[in-house]
Amino acid sequence: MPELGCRSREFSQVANAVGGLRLGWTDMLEGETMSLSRRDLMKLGVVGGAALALPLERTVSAGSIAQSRLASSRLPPPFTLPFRVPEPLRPYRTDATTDFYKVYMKPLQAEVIPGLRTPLWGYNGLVPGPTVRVSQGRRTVMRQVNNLPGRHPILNYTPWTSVHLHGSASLPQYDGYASDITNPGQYKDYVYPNTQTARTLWYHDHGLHHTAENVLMGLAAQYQLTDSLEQSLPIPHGDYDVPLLVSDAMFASDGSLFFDNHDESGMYGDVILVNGVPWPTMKVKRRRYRFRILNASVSRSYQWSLDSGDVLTVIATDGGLMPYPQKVQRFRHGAAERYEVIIDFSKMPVGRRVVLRNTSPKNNIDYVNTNKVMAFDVVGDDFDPAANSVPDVLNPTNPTMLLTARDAVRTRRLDMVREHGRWTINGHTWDDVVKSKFSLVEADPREGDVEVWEIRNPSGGWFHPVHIHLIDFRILDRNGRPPMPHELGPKDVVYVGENETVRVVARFEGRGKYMIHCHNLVHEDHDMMTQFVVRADQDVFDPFSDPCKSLPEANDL
Amino acid sequence: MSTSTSARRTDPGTGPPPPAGAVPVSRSRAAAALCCVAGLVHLLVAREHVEVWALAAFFFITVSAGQLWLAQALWRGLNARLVPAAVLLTSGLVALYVLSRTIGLPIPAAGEVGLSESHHAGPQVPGGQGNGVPVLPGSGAGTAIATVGPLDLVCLVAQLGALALLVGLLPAGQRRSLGNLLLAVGLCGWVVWGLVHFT
Repeated sequence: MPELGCRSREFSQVANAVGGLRLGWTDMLEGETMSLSRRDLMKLGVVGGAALALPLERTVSAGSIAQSRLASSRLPPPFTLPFRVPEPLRPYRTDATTDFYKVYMKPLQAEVIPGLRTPLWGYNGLVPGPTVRVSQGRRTVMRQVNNLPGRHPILNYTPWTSVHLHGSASLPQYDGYASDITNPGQYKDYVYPNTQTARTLWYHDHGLHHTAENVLMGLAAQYQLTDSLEQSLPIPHGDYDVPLLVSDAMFASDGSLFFDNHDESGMYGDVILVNGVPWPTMKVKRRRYRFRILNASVSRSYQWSLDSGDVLTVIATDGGLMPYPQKVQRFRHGAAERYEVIIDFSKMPVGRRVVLRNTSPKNNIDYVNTNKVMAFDVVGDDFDPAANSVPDVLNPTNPTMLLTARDAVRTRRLDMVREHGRWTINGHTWDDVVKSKFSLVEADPREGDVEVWEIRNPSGGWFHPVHIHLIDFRILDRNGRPPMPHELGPKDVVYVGENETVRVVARFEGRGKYMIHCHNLVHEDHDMMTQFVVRADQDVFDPFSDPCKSLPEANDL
Repeated sequence: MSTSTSARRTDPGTGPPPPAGAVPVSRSRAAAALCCVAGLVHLLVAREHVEVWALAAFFFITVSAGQLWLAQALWRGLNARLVPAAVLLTSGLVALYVLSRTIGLPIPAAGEVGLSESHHAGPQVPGGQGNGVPVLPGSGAGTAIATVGPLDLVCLVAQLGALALLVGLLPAGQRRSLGNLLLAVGLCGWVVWGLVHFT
């Protein structure tokens, strides 16, 4: 065995053998006798090697379990798959005033990409979920049962849920308050008043921390509210009133969804899905169609246009019919916004294909075919000529659209800012709300107050579709200029683009706490969400006042 | 005793030999430079830890201050009696680093600033069962295990270099004892790694 405390010559021999060490050590020693023996070096080598290698190995192995993205060559070419419409949801039972529904959130395997099975989660096992159609004045009770697995199969989180009926002035305890959650194995009965004007709503998950993932997995569907005015208009109804849930997704090589939130900036897919089908083709007759376009994407915004150059006639926005239809060549559409659009195929020859295109607004991540959405193939079949026009006037007396800045009793400001890696509103996040025991609010209007809210996005690097729960609002201006033509209707989400300041005016009717958040769901989850309270002389409603129950279901629906 | 042996070994041309009990100048200064690098890296990362957990930032500032003090002491000629303490403290820091990057520490990870788990480290979800924060594949988010970054490697290499130099400054008996202790720790690390990966 070598003697401990070898001299410099011996060390130099070792160092020569370990070439990389030689220069540094001999330089540092400057001719001194090295007191580390070969045995010392071996001991230090063992511990130093462990210190260097084990953490690196852990990091590399963590990276290696990342999903591998499905090659674009495996994706279906655009316009090769048939269009389909989501199934309707039938009431479980009805009585004189109320329709009762049961919805089971559960896993499914879908063949979204031909030849591959994609694990998804759906309302009643459907993606998109079933469409609810209700009439104004009839109350809805919707039992939402969380039959999801205890863990997400890839992302390993507990998929608690909170169902938000987006566009409904629901009571706080039925509004999908993010922290009012339903765990797997629990259920909750949501009550919806349906007292508002006709509109396209949607129900989607709003569970704290993982709304983006739950919605991407499929927990989203349309909910259509009708009223007598909407039914009386000669606009397309029935088969010619078509829901379009547009979303985007990316897939892994095994067919599962591919998750990448790009450092929490957003999830952007290379596949555009319409009603869950990649770039579908729809056969259309030579007449007008009404499309209820919902941007159900997690993050992506779109700018629609037709490759034929024909106009899109926008007749309704988030809060229902516009005062007057607006003809546009193209329009911008942020996440969660709804626009009802008439497309006139009557002058197009049979056999003509018209493509709905997307000229992507900036700060999205685009791929080869994200500039295409779906195709319409004109066919010569007979059709019902009724309800095939667009009147010049739709709903000129919508109270929201009659509000002006002069009606407001105060102006408030919301600053949408990324600070230290966190998405904030006025410097606050939902974690701040939770830490305050849900007492922190950004605004506290009294019931019936009209207020102007000025929403600012000082960044040029991203946009925010800002959603204010409970209310409909009117957009007053954007950077001091009039709103865009397609925005001239009642809204509950406003696209606050890069370096934009948008002013909206609203009347606050209702009582209790409601959320304000960015509807880029990745921003929302991380953690661009806060709340306001509508104060009243009577007690305000508590979002936690009607919590979920554990299964089995009670027979009380 | 190697202390006296060491005291005889001085840099050529640096004047009279250092006082008895001081460590050799060249090795001491090399160790000082490496400790200085490690201390500055710890100071640099303290800021990002503030955003996650103030106590962690305090820890890093304390470590940084200790290493910078050690650096200046080594530069000036550290009393040889303090070398074992310096070896143990540096070894401890290396061990903490390895734990934080392999099995995780029960504290939020500063490397994950901007990722989900650091945002939601504080408040719990009322009624929530389990962890609701998604762990994106390859991100390490949702765990307390930080990933290895370039600054980590710079700091680690500096600390390992300083450790080797400091061990070399120890008297033979202490060197053997501490060397065996480090060997045992290193072997334990490799054995645990082997058990995890091959059983």
